[in-house]
Amino acid sequence: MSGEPLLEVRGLGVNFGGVRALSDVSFTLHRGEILGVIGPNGAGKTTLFNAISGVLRNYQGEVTLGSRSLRGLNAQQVVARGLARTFQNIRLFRSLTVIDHVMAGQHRQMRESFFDSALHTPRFRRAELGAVREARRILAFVGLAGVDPGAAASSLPYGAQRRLEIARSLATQPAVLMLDEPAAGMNTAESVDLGRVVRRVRDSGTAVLLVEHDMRVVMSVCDRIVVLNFGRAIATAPPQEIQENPEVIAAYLGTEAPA
Amino acid sequence: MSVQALAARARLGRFQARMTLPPRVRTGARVGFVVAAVGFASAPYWLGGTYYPDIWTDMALWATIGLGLNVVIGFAGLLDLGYMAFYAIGGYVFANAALYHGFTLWETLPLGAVLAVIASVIIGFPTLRVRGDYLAIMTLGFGGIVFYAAQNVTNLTGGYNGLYGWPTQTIFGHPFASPIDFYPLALGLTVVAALVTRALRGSRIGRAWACIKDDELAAGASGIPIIRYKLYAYMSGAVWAGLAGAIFAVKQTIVSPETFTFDQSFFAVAIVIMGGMGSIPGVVLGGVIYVVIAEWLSTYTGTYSGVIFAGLLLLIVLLRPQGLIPYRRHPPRWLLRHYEEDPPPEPPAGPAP
Repeated sequence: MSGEPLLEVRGLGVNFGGVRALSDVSFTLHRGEILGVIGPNGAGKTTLFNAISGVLRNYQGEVTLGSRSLRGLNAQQVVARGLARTFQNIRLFRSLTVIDHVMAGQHRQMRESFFDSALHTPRFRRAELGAVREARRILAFVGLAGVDPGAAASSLPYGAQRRLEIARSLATQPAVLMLDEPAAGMNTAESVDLGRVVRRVRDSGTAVLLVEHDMRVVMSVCDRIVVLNFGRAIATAPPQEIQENPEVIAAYLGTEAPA
Repeated sequence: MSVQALAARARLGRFQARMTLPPRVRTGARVGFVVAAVGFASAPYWLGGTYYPDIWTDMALWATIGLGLNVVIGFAGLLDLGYMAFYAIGGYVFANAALYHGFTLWETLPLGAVLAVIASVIIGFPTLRVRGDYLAIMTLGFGGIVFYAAQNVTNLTGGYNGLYGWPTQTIFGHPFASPIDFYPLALGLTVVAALVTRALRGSRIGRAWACIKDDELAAGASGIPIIRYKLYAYMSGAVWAGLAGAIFAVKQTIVSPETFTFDQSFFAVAIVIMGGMGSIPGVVLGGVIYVVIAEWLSTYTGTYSGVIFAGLLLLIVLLRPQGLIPYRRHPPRWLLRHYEEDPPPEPPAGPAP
């Protein structure tokens, strides 16, 4: 099922003042894998994402991507290393069009210098044209082929906005894509569709780390699942085993205090 | 024609229908706009005298200032309340070079531009990690520093009296004596500033600025180096004020601190907001309106012109907050054409590894 280790999290701990949001969390995401992260509200899922993606830079432990440490890198340096993310609350750009978003994601790869940009040289035209073609391919990839490329992103329906955010992340050519509750607020049809997109991403060679509340999506899409509870990873296993794990059931449903 | 190509054409059609007028009307509107702009810009030549050319030169300089500040505020969303510091730097650089080192305007222009850019990096650097209100206050402080330095570093600036008395500047042996001599120079600068800032806005640099303006966190997650692009915005904004400042100095035959007060920086911001943030024709119009009210009308209304300008600004902000000629980002037509002409993408294969 899984290839070589790609993203490794070792003994990750995060404190907010006196609150221990994450402690000693370890797991490995392999090449070609979809790894789900689940847990009750406040379990530390988003904190985990923020630490890995460089939004939160003050943590204990080690995060490595392809054996290189991500410690101390800011968000765009993490992206440059090949790890892209989406946000729990969709964060699209207010004034940008649909195609602009996917071109913005390609920013790092585009070869146009300051002077090419200021003078619109042939190299500028080539770079922009290449970016438009790539953007169109990625939009089709996430299922947005039929969308007006010049429309304001904010005018898209909710599910399409989620996809556009994924398209923007994919445009950075990541080795790992982290999705923060992509199915939140979606109806059944939309979330089934989303699961299809996520699998397609995995099949195209990008490993996926997926935080999700929607159990249908998690159980049907993920190869393995990490369960967080009160900032600790209490289990890591394939979906089938997770569903039967007594500790996980206890975390979700509650249990009598141990004697 | 394949089904996909037909669908693509329909999509493009929808886009054009919403974004633009029918081609005939569009061409007509464009021709009308160009005729009006050329007619207005050539007015000093058929009005003659020295008064109108002088006013029109000021319009061009203020429009250039607006265009420069538009990069910082309109494109990148960085509120800069001390922008005229760069105008001052351009003026004083020219004055010093012309007075003490025998440089001509032509030799000084690039120097003024380069020094304004360097100053923008020095001033910009400490502000890179602050946002919003804090950024505005810091830039206000830097504007103040340059103003008081102009008053007190007398060996470089001549203090309150300013610097004056450099030799008359020439172009191809023709002296800059009458206001009509400066006008083409100032107008040329405005045109170049409009073209270059427009080109930048439509490039990946402009896209990066728009991302930073809208959402810094998401911009970082898209791989855009935020700090570097903020510095680019300061630099590509400051250069126009540096150039305009040098031309202004030659025209006034004196550089003194009162030209670079906080009021001036405020008016520059007002021009951008009034014209439409990010909008190039809007900001040029803003500069023209400012000069019409502040200099022309003031011969009839005296100090009340300030009240009129402030009142107009209030009206615009209340009734038309997007500015007189609003700007809306949209991809250029030559790029969108490829949605129509290119073969449709193969079914999902996945992003390149």
